[in-house]
Amino acid sequence: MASNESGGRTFAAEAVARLYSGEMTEAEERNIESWLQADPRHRAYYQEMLDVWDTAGNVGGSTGQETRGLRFGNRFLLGVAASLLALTALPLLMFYTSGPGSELRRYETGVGEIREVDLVDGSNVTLNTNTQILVDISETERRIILDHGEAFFDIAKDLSRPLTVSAGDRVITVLGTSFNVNWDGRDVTVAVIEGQVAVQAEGAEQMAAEHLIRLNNAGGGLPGSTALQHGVVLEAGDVAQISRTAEPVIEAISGNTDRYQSWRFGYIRFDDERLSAVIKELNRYSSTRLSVGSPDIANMKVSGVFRTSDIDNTISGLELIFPIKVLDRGDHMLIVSASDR
Amino acid sequence: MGAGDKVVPISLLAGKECQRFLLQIVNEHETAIKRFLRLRLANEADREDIVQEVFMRLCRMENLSDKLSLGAERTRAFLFMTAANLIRDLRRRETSRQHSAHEPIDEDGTADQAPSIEDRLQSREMLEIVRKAIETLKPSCRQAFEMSRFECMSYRDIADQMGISVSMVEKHITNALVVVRRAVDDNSDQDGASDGK
Repeated sequence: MASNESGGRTFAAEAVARLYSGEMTEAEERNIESWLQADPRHRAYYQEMLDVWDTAGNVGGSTGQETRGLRFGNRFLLGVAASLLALTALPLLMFYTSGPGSELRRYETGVGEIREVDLVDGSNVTLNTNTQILVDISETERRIILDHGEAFFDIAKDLSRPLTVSAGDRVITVLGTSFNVNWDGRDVTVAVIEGQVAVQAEGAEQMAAEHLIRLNNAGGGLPGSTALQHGVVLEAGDVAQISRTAEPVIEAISGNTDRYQSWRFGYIRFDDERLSAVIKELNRYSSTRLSVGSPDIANMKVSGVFRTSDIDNTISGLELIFPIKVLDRGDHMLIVSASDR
Repeated sequence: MGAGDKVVPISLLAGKECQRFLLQIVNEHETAIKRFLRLRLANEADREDIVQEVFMRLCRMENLSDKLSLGAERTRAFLFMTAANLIRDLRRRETSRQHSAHEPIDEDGTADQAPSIEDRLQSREMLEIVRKAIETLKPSCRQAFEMSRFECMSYRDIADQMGISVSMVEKHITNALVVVRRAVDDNSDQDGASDGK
């Protein structure tokens, strides 16, 4: 019993010491959890050790004082002072007050997941597979950051509060409209389903918003894809691909916007596209990695509609239609020509 | 929004750059902070409040970029320290609430129950016992423990300062906790207090 108690206390002390290292792993957490559940006394040992930890912190003279503001420890502040000398050229982050009632929220989806989110301003956003957005809506501003992935935006119209979507260093400004944005880390692709959308490099949002308001007041009497300094205004039916180059190149493609929003309904459509492009797209929806074995089949043209919820079956289906076969290579699936052995 | 949402609502004063930065930090450290809180606080609502408050305080920091440029390890140490301090404040509030609610009323004979170690630890005498126990620790063990508990230093900083490894710091802390815990029992026995064991 005595050795039991002493062993239990030692384990509890180790657990608490480890806990405050900030380095605890998932396996360690599981180990501690199962130890706690194994015996009610274990929980008591553990709780007592936490109390000892807390009490010891009160011995050191700061008793009775609530934590005020931030306490980066002394060591930390010394470190900061030292680094300030070395890093004066570091760009400073500007903090500014968001409007009243601002609340920042983050939404994300895993691979293969699709999720619809209602925002406080009445707008609605649908996240495609493997996507993350950050939303900051206040009484005066509406800002969304597309950190990665693809989202369909159905934005409630509000002339007094233009909404911006940032993707990389591009900013999309709207008053109220629906559009799709895909940000793969290299290119931003914007497809406008309805209304008008201004796209430019970061920093000219205000100008874009004013431009959109003028267009809105003109009652649509102006021609489409109007010139805008440092950017372009897209109209319903337009698709723009913005390549990440030193000077942003905005290539407006008049296209089939359905192609850019069908994922919301669980399918993707390809019209005469290279197999390599199709595979790249399919890979977004499944944890199974697909790769194309040889250049001749990579260039093969593919048309068709694929269900995003069932990519693995879709791939096997390809074998029936095209002269290819799919080989299971353990960590990935390799697509080769059917004539390969 | 349904349960299980991985949403961190943060009312904050922040520009877009900060938000991106923040997002990166949240992504990097959220799991570790939540794990820490799970093992530290039984109440889920308390845990969520603290996660939110930790990141909110981070947002309010001046010269955040400078501080964060010191690296992920220091950022994490800061987040942990903030969480630890918030837990300490929470416990203090709970304790003072319990004291003011229980002691004067003394209904149903609750005051007759054996005091929990937590209650005993709150007393002035107990602080004295803990202080004395810390003084009995071996010098390096005592130094590590005091740096951690009195100066809120991270293990990494303690290790660097003392010229020992982080795992050695952990061993010192473990050892100190065991010694102090034993001292609490020993002194209770001397006082003749029946602690219900």
